[in-house]
Formats: sequence, C-alpha cells, structure tokens
Amino acid sequence: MRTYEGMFLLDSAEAVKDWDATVGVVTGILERYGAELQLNGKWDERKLAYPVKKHKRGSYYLAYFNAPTDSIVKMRDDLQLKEEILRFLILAMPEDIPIPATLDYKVVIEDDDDDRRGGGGGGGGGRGGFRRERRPERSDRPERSAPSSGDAPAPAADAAPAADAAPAADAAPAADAAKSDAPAPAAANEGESA
Amino acid sequence: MAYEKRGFKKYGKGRCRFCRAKVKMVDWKDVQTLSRLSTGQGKMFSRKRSGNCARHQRQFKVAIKYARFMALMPYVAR
Repeated sequence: MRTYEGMFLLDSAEAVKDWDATVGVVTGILERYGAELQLNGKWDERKLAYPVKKHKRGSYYLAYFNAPTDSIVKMRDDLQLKEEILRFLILAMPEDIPIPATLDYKVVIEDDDDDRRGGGGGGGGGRGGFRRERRPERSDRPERSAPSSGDAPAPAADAAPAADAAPAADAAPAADAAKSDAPAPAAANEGESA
Repeated sequence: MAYEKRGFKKYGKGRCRFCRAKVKMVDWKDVQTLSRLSTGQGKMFSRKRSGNCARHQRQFKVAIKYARFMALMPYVAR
C-alpha cells in the first residue's frame, strides 16, 4: 500500500449537471481496485490554460488515497476509457510528506516581487534584462526613438545650410535673404518627401 | 558573484523563496506561485532570475510540468 494523490479533470458540463454522479465514476474505479479514499473533494472549477478535448472549462476533483501499488496501472486503464474524465494525474506521495489537512494549497509566494525589484535597481544593470517590467519598455523603444531621431533633427540640418547658402550665393540684401529663407526649408522638405 | 553577495547582505535573508518558506516539496497545484516564477509566455524563470536553490528549482521544474499537463498552466501562452 502507498499513498497517492490523484487529480481528475472532469467535464465541467457533466459536473455542473450532477457532481455526485460524475465523481462517482472516479471513486467507483478507485474503490474497485482497493483504494481507500482519504481526503477528497472538489478542488476547483476554472478556465483551462488550453483546451483539453475541446473543453475550455473544467472541474478538478482531488483525492488522496491509499492503494496497492499494482492497482494503479489498472485504475489508469479504466480511467482512460471514461468520457467524463478529460485528464487525470495520479502521483505517489513522497513518503516523508503527510497528507495535507485541507484541499486548498498553500501559496508560497504571495506578492514579494517588490523587494526584488528594489534590489535590481541598486546594482544589477546586467540583470535588468530578466526583469518583467522592463519588457514593455523594450517594445516601446523603437517606436519612440525612430520618429524623434530620424525625422526631427534631419530637416533642421538640411534647412540650415540651404538658408545660409542662399544669401551667400546671391549676395542679396537682408530683405531678400529673409524671403529666400522662407521657401528654402519648404523646398527642402518637398525634395525629401518626393 | 559580487552582485549576489551584495543583495544577500542587503536583505539579510536566504536566497531561495522556498527555503525561506521551509517548503519540503514544491506544490504543483500552487498555480499562483508557479506563475510568479514564469514569464508571461509561460516559460520558467532561470535560477538566476527566480533565485531558487538547486533542489527547489528541480522541484519547480517538475511541478510546472505537472501543472501544464493538468491545464493549470499553459505550455505556451499565445
């Protein structure tokens, strides 16, 4: 005999209709092969991380049970044939770990990301790349830098020599130079866009 | 490494979260913890990123695989 932990992913539609009957399918199989159910019950009903047999939602039934070691293979064979059981996972409990008191799992990491964030800011520039909150910045950067560095300085640089060259070449009075200043950047822009 | 030593001193606690919480075995049903140790895409964090010790990182590796099989965690998120 060993202690096993079995989780069964059940068809949510069937489970909502008749939970006892759906679970009865599982427990019936377990008990047929000599399992003694310990702690067992509904674990959760949630949206699946990916569709399983075209189901998007599923109900989880969790059971801890003692069973003869050679019965597990037979249980698996039978469980596989049932349509209400979408998936199941039977694991032998490590012998030094007792059956938990409740079905609820203990959350190890509640929300301690903040203290790690502070540590990263202090010293590890090289490690910054691993941080989650850096990622949005990275995708933003090309969008932000492309218009600012590409467009804004370039016309100014083009316009300035044009404005300077126009009065110098013509040796025109200041009034004419001012006039020629105005069309010159416009012409430069047109030349660029064309 | 120099950086890790510095961080260690500054916060004055063990590196591994699971060691700190005195976890014997990483629970594969604890989706909240598993998702905190994986990227938005569902990839595991490296030891360097997660700060896990070798033993708990190995347990986490197995745990996330069980969780993926039971559709608690994604194999790959879109």
